[in-house]
Amino acid sequence: MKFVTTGIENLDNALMNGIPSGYTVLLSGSPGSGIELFAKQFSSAHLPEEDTIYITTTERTDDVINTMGEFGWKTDIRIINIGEEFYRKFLEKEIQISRYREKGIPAEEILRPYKFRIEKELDILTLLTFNISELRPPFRIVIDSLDFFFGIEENSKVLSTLRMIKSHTQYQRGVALFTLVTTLYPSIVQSGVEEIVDIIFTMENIRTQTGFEKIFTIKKFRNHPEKVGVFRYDFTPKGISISKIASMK
Amino acid sequence: MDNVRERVPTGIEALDNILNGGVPKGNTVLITGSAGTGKTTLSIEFLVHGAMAGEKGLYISVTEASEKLLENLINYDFFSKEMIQKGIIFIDIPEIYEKLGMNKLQFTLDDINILIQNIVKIVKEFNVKRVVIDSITSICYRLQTEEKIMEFILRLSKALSELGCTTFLVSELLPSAKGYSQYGVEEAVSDGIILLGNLERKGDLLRTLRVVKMRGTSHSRATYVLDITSIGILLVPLLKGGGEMYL
Amino acid sequence: MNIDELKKRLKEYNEPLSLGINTSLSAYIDTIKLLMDEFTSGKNIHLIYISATIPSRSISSILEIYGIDEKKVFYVDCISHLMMNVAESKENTVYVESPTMLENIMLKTQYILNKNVKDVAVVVVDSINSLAIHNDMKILSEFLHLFVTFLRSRNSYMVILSIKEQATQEIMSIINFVSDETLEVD
Ligand SMILES: Nc1ncnc2c1ncn2[C@@H]1O[C@H](COP(=O)(O)OP(=O)(O)OP(=O)(O)O)[C@@H](O)[C@H]1O
Ligand SMILES: [Mg+2]
Repeated sequence: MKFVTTGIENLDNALMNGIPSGYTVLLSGSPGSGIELFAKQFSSAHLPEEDTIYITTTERTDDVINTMGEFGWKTDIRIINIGEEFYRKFLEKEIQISRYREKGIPAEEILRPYKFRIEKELDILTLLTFNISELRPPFRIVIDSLDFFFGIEENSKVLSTLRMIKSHTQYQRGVALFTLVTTLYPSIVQSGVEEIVDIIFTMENIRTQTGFEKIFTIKKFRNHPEKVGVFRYDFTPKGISISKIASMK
Repeated sequence: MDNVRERVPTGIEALDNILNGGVPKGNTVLITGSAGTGKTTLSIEFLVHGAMAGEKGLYISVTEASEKLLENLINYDFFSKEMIQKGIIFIDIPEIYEKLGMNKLQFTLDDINILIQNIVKIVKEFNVKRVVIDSITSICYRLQTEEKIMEFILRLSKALSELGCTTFLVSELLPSAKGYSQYGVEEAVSDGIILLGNLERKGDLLRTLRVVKMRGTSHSRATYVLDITSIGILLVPLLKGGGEMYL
Repeated sequence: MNIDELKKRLKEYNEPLSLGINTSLSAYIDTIKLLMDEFTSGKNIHLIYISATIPSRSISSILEIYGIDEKKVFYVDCISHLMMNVAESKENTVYVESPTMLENIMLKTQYILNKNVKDVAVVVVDSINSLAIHNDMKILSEFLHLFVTFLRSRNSYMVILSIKEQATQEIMSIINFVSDETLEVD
């Protein structure tokens, strides 16, 4: 079995070689825990031959590139900004609707020669699967984050899309990483996603009496329960680093 | 008995005779009947004759895409499809709903107001004199409560009437319906009811028409047999043979 | 009277009326031929032929044999459907599904009148006996009465054919009721 690097040496070691090709990973964490930074570090750690797409739903494309630049990471990845497109269309529509409700539909709109003008709703999930199905191995997919999709589509539809991505990844021997903010969703959603993926990481920034304790957990590793473990993580100028928890040894 | 209200001829000769000259101007008339009885055909012909007389028509399509409707429309001997498209404004209501953000299954009172305002705006801007809504039943479905249906029809017909518009509301009757409309409210608030139906007589199926009510005029309440032809709808009185059965 | 006398009689009419012609079977074809000839030779007269006895195609071929111009003839055929005998539709023919759909006979006649006939038309009903086979007398007499009234309002004639051998007392009294004049032809 081939492995790919996570971009964090100690994590690769803890996983005993990194992430096996064909695997799908869930990274969940509380807001502010750094999961989106992990996602960027992970995407830029790809090998030259790995076709890598970074699907962002919350940030501007420039911000993704800039952040990666600040840490000195490679930015030779394709960024697909689903969020931006969605909100642009969505907002445009909302603004127009409120204008029409206020002032009435203009006459020239009514007279425009008829064809079925109702634009097909922008189908975000189809857009997502389309982009992914185009990928040929080896590839690396990062989706930051799933929250956006659960926010606008039915849970069951999102889950079945994820299942498709997972099987494409598995069959084509790529790797995929999804981020998901914990505590936002009912546990069925959370456990639905956890059930699909092969590996689960969590990042938690826990408040303690002395300050913050940042805990990185390998919560699940399909067929390798021995790889499960708890670590400390930190932010350095080069990105996220992982270390063993001394006291627990 | 007849007062002197101005008439709007439907252009269907026999129907105008039944109505003693036509529909009293400004009336809102329910064109009601079960599936395939000719409601759309009758309503379009009403608009076509208006267009021929230089009266702008507005057809608001709720159930069927107007593009398809135009494709299937009879080729009238007396008026070309090009002229029809010139003289009648065709609007698909899903488009209006979409533009006005009315995508909820149930409309709010605010939605109703805005919908009426928009219809009235079009009528004013294009100086429309004849309006058809096909069908009102589908709109009622989104209004849900009797109060809202009543509110909608009454306010719309008042507004259109004040603008000198004569309106046909197409109503779809399910076999389960008891009176002349699906929710019962539609028939009560309209000024007129024209009932289209099928009648079986000893194995023959006949299309029928009856004017059930028409405020502002006296009229025959007899049942007529109807034929849809390229020269328009034709009517003859139903013979009283007995043995018939309304379907 | 005989055919020649009928011919002379027909020439005397100059305003719309309704006529009953009770003809013997032997004079039936000649009567049809005469009616066609007489009424289509006039300048602005059209003939609408309601065929309930023999299919319109057969009538048409009779005319062809005798060289009578069919240009101004229209058919409302209400027997071919029943006999499952409808060939390709002809431009001058409208079909009614069955001779029991009397209203549709009127509707189709009205259609032809409105669409094609500017002036006067003669409507020939062939025959009352055939219609009587398919309809009860009450509805038939109501139909003919309504039909005649309608045609009169359109300035048009109606000729009701009857075949003597099949004519009952009841049929004759309907003819007498709706016609201005009834002629006996042998
Ligand atoms: N172009 C046409 N040529 C001939 N007959 C037609 C034509 N269009 C419609 N018809 C006839 O008219 C009938 C009634 O059509 P119409 O659409 O007016 O009925 P409707 O009551 O509006 O039906 P629905 O309940 O389906 O809306 C059709 O079933 C068909 O027999
Ligand atoms: Mg319809």
